[in-house]
Amino acid sequence: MKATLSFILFIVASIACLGQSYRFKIFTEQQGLESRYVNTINQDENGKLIIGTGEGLFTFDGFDFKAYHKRQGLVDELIQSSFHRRNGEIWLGHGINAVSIFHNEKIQALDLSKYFTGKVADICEDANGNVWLISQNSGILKCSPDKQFTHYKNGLEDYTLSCMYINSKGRILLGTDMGLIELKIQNDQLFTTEIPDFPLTNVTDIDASANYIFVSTEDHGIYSCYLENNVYKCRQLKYIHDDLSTYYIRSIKVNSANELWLSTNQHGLIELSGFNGSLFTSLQAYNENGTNAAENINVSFHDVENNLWIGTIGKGLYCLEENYFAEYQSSSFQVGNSSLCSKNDTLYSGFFGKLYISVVHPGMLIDSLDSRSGLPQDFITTLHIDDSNNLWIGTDKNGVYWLQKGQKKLQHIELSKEFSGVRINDIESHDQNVYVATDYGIFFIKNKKVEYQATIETGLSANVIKALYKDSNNKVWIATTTEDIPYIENNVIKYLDGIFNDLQVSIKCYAEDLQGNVWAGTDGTGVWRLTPKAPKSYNRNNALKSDYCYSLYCDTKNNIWVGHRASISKINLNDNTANVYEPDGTSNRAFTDNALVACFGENLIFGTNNGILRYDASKDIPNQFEPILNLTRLIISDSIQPLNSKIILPYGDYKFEFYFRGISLKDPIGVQYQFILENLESEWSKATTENVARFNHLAPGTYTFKVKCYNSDGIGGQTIKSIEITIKKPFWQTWWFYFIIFFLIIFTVRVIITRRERILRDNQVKLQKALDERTKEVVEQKELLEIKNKDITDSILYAKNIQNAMLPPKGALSRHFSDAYVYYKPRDIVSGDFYFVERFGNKIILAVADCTGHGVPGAFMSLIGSTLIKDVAKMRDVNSPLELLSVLDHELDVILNKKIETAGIPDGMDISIIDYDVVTKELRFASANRPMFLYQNGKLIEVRGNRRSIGDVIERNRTEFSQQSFQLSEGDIIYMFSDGITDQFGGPFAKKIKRKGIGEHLSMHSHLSLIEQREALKDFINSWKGDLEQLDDMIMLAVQV
Amino acid sequence: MTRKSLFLFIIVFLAWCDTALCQPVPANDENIPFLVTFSKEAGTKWGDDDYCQTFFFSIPKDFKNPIYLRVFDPEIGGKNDEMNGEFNSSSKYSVYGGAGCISVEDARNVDPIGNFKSGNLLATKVFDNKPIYDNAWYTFGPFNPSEGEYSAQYGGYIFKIICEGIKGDDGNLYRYYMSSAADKNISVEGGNAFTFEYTFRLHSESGQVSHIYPYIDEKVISLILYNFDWDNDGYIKLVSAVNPGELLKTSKENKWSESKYEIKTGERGKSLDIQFKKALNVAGVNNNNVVFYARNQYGEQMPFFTIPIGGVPKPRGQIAIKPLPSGKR
Repeated sequence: MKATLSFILFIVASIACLGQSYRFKIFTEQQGLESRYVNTINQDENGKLIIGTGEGLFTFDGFDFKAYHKRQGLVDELIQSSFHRRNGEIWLGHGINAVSIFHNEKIQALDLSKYFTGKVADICEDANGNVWLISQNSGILKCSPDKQFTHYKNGLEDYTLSCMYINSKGRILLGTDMGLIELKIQNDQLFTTEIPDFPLTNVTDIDASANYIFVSTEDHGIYSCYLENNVYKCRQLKYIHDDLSTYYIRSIKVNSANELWLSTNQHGLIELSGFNGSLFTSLQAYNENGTNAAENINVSFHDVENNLWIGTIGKGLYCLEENYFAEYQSSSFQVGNSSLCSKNDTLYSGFFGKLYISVVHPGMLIDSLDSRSGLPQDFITTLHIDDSNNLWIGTDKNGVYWLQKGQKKLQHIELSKEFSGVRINDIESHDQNVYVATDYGIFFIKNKKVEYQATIETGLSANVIKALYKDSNNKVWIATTTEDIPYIENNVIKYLDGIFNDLQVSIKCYAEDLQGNVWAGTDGTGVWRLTPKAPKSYNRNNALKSDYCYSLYCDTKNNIWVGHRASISKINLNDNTANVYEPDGTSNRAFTDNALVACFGENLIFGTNNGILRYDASKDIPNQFEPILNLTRLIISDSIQPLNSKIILPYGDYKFEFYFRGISLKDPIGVQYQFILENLESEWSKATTENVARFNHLAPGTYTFKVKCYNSDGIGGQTIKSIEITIKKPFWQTWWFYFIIFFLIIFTVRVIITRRERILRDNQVKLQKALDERTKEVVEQKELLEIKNKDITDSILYAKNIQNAMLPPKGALSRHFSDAYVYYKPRDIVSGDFYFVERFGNKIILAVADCTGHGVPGAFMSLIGSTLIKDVAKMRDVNSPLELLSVLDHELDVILNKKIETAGIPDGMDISIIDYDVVTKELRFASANRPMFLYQNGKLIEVRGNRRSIGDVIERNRTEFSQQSFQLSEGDIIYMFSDGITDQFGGPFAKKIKRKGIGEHLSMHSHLSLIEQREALKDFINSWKGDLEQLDDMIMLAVQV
Repeated sequence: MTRKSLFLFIIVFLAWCDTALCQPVPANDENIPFLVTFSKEAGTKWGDDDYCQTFFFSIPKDFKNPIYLRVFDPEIGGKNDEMNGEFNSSSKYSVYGGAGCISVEDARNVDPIGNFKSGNLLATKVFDNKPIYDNAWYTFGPFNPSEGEYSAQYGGYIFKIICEGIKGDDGNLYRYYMSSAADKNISVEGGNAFTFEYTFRLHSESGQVSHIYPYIDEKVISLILYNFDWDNDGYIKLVSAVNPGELLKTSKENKWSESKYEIKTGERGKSLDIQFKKALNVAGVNNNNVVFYARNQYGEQMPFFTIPIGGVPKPRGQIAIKPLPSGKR
């Protein structure tokens, strides 16, 4: 009984005298949370906290709150209950008969007015995915996955329902205002069974771990339910001897370790741990008395990073900050500078006139000393437990006190009368020797008697001794204000040299690492390893927060802990890394000299000028949770775009802003990001805390933006969020544009061709029409021409007859010569060639003329010529061919009225004229531009005349006609011809026959009779001409003498 | 003053401060010592016709801090309460808010029938005779004001507290306080309380006048005022700004009595003052409990606000104006 009473007193004392306080982040209107009434807390798959309040729904990503009210689709502002379903939906029960379903930042309303009249008190889900909605006064409603409702009400009319629990086998526990009942549904009928031994009180909440179901009540504490013989039974749970019935528990949360978190009215949040099936052995209260927390708590919630969130009534949302540092302060008085020592996991902490002894944690006091024990009203500056477990207490102005183990009364140790008020800085012991460091040297005490005082006068390097430290070799190191490093070994003071050399150093504290090296913390020069051959130092340039070190300790992991004025440095000697801790609140406090000890397992206890700071290494572990990464916004050229996985943009110049957020609620600011825009960059960006990436002026193409993030401890990078952006090519670079252009070209060409064809066809038609018209006209003209031609031809034919009539008759030659022939072949109907035969006495005149032109003009000229020659030949004074020729030339001028001005007009004739005296056989020959062949004596000779034509006005003045005479004999043949024969083209090379060709032909056939020669000539000419056209009128006149 | 007297004075002063500076139900102006609810096994002759009392509290719309509903002496036993044989009773207090809290017609009925427990149950507790609650405050809450039902007609967010005598036959005497603190009575600024049926304890001392203040809205033409079990303990008078006093019929033991009153010009939009005056000529009836309610011409119950709307009505005729003597002008 006495022990129990003592224990209760200890517990009471622990709460009253040295309460632990934690630090909280508080979120209210100032931080963006519009409501101070937080009723529900959940965390969605995106990592955001989903906070249901009395004034709407809020999401929180570590930085900003986003509000959802009625205008955003929320059914009602007041949210009373919530449930996070396995499919990610968060169902929010309202104060009215409705539910809002929140998922992916969208809200869907569920009207339950058909079933419920009051608030939705609780929501839960069974193993089959059915959601169960509990109305306070309208029964329960089962909502199947396909939103089919089944309402159960009968049998529950007498109950006011508050909460529900369904186990994996579908057994239902229902919390009511009259205790806990089990609900069974058979054939859609409800059967209720009261849980034995459960009080008739209001059940406020039910939560379960793997093994236990915990039920909270309004005024009967908490119960656990369990199945025994397939029947639910319950037992009340207690904390030590407290049945917890004084707590009005609003809600309850349990974790896998069966640690309970009770949200209470007026008592804040209660953490119960150390559960053994019926009893909790540890209770931690987070309330205004000791922890700066709120007193009225609606709900608590642990997020995925194990942050503790607390929803309060009227004070907003709380989040417990890093809890590896915990403060312990007295609520009853100002503790002042605290001094510490520990042994056997028992902590001794000294303050002004007060000394506490605690176990488990600094707040759990098992004893205390004050003036009633003989402790002076003075600051306790140092504490020490000697090898015999006696407690030595150093004070500021009252010297040294000693407490024998197991006693409660202190004994004052007299140092000396002269130094009775000297400040005691530190106490150390070895065997029976106790060393007291003071502002005036070191006192050597043995058997509570001062044996020796080491001062400057006795050879100590300084009088002010700040600290003493005994290492594993039993050397007691002395901290002085000089650069000397004295130590006590076997009660003799010695010095360590070769460390600081000429450096001005003041040592404040010592520690020994796991390798046995002693380290010194100094006042302004950092931390030094006291190894003479290889001293090593850490300072603010390479490890420490400050060069001023007030306490030093090496923990079991070879970390050197250094207490500064307002911060703590940790040097890991294994890998030479360093960390700095700046627990909130330490900026207004200083760490007490040499008040740093290890206690309670991994805990380090720091004495400060404002209570005790506990560091729990077991809780200082890196955050292993990767931030939950979300792409939050995409802005393209200042326009917010929906966050689709693929975005296709038309060609253009865009400005891209990708916003993302890695949610790590433990340290939102410490989240770092890396991103890459594939197809533009080849490497991830450097880690940055900025949550936006910007890109401008991207060329057409497909880009993939990827981002990953890491929490403040560098954990993460596994999840990559991406979004694909495609900027289309300009239309003129697309295949379809090419196709269209090709098609257009084809089409255009075709159109052009078609048009041209049509035009051609039209033109053809027109032409055909014109042609037809013209043809018709031509035909008509042709017919007209034919008629005219016929008339002309007829005229010419008639003229031919006339011309033929004017030619000598066929027998004229034969009468004068032995043989003769005329080969006469006009080119046209009428001929420009003619011949003349007339006998005047003995003389026979022969002439062969070739008038200029042929056809009708030639015929006219031949008519003129033949007429003239007939007339001239009859003239008396014309007696020779020469005269005939000359007169003929003259007469033709007269007829044609030729003048010298018209010279060049080839109107005239070539003519060869002979006269043959039949008697004398003399032949005279005169020629105007016509030769003659004379076959005589078996030879054919060419007789050329003058190269002047009749009617040639120009040549008339230059050349006179001449006359040649020949004596013929019988048989001689005279050949007279026009140039129509010699100029005829033909032969194998289409050349003229020329006179040579005619001459050769005549020679070759001279042996023939003239008749035969005529046929031969005819054949020759036809053969020579071939298919060629006859170019001129032809005449060959041959006479044989 | 002796030290003992000084101590007693301080105690009394503090007790007065606890109520006088706060927002109690009954209010100071009402001068009603306690509300009373008998347990259902007691007969109605004890002065409670239905073993149930409903009170409503209104909180201004812009009030955002948590509110608490505190009950003084909630248990049945020890001091203040009325014992019938021995204390063996239990009372249940239930606090309601949310939709239907007052808007449901049954909630405004004088009789606890139908869905008079409408709205969302926010808290409930059963008290028997545990000494810890004797002559002490018990606090319900905190509550978010928006958990109440908003009613512009009744002045903001409305909470309802129902006290039921669920077991035994003793009388539970208690008071309410709507506070903005859990452990002390700090008034909710702009808050008010009202009921549609008052069941209360009268003073035992003769000459004491208790008041209740029915509010007369613009549509009220006439009233029927009911009282139950007055026991000939004095008189009941109606006073208004235009009516210096009109006696109402009083009821006998375990009986109802009713009086009709025509509303006069100048009384609408204000409160009437129903005065319950303990008889002067006799020692009076100790521990007298009375029930009172009023209905308008439509049969609707009239609310009694503890802080009378329009202030405590003072008949104008009682203000006498005398001209000052000429020498004092």
